[in-house]
Amino acid sequence: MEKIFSFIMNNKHHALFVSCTIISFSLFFTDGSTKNVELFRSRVIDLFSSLYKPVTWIKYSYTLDEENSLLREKVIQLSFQVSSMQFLETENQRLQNLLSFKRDNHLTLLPSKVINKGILPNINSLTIDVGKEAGVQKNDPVLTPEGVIGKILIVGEYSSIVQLINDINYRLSVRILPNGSTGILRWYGNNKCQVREVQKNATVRVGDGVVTSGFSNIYPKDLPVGTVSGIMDKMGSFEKIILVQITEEIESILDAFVVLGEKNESN
Amino acid sequence: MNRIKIYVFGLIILAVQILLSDFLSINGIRPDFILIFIMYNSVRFGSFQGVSLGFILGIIADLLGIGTSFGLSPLTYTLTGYILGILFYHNKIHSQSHFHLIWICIILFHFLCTTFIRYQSIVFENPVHFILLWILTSTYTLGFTGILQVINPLYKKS
Repeated sequence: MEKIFSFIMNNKHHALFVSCTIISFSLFFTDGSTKNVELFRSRVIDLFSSLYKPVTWIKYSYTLDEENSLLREKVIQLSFQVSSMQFLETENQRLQNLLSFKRDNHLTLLPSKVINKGILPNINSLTIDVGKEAGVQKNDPVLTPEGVIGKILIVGEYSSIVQLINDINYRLSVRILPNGSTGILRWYGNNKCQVREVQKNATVRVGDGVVTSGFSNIYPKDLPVGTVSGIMDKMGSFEKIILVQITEEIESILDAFVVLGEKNESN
Repeated sequence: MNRIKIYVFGLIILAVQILLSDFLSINGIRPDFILIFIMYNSVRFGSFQGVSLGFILGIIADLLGIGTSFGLSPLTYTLTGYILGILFYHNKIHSQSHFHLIWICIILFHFLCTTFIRYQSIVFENPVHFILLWILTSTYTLGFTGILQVINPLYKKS
């Protein structure tokens, strides 16, 4: 017994390495998704977000001036758009009535601020300042005005971790418009994604819009995702690979919206 | 006492990483001060210190907001701390050029592992982007390590 103890003490750095590696591997292969680990992670991000709030405040104040002038410019542009849209709305209403079309689905969006983007060298996730208290649930989609950026992975009481679209395990069922072909989207690099499993005979053009298909239980249909930026049509393959440009700059996101669900609107 | 000082300093480095990583971010790539800290401690105090620091700081880094691949940071930091300690503390390397070449290779290997696991879907689909991502992420941290080596050289003639 003594010999074993002295052997371990003499080789304590090897022993420590082996035990740390085993623990790390077990965490890695379960992806920290056991109930206790998830609970612990949600507690830690809650604590961390409250500690990090002053830093977020400084960061926001820093960009406030610039954002203010951009918003003023946007207000002017939007006021012009509103006047032209008022006309379009009446016309649209008239046409909808003609087609007996009833638009009943609207999204309930929860605005949130990005608290931090993790501390590792590459950004694959971010922490936002809303959690269970505001009604956020695991797998809720996360958007910016430019389109889908990810989904909720871990929910704390007052903050949540978002799995970003550039995460290796992220997949999204999408539809290409106007053609209507569907496929599975995944990250490709350089703010681009690939859509696979698109039918070979589908007519897709550069510039076509890409939206969520609505096939999954997570994402409501027709949420914007990006635009087609390239088409790869390999000989001998049964599918087309579509390259999609994501409009949002992932690394500079400051605000995001969590889709809490779809609400019914009765007119 | 000395050990406590190192762990306290580790927490300060973690705070620096949290506070500065966003401001120093270039195109989504950020320097890894934690890795530099682990490297210095492994070389100076051996692999026991490197492994323990790597594991603890890696776990904290993953807890502070990683989406998937939870457990990757402690794994890679632990491995890097162990290799650096074994090579430089337990088997002293006397040639300066070998010394610098080896730690650069270890850091490149560290980032190859992390980039490969985090971006494995693009390794064959978009190899150019993968290699660029790996090289740029490594170079950014290597740049900071280089500056620190000028201020506080790791290589000491024995």
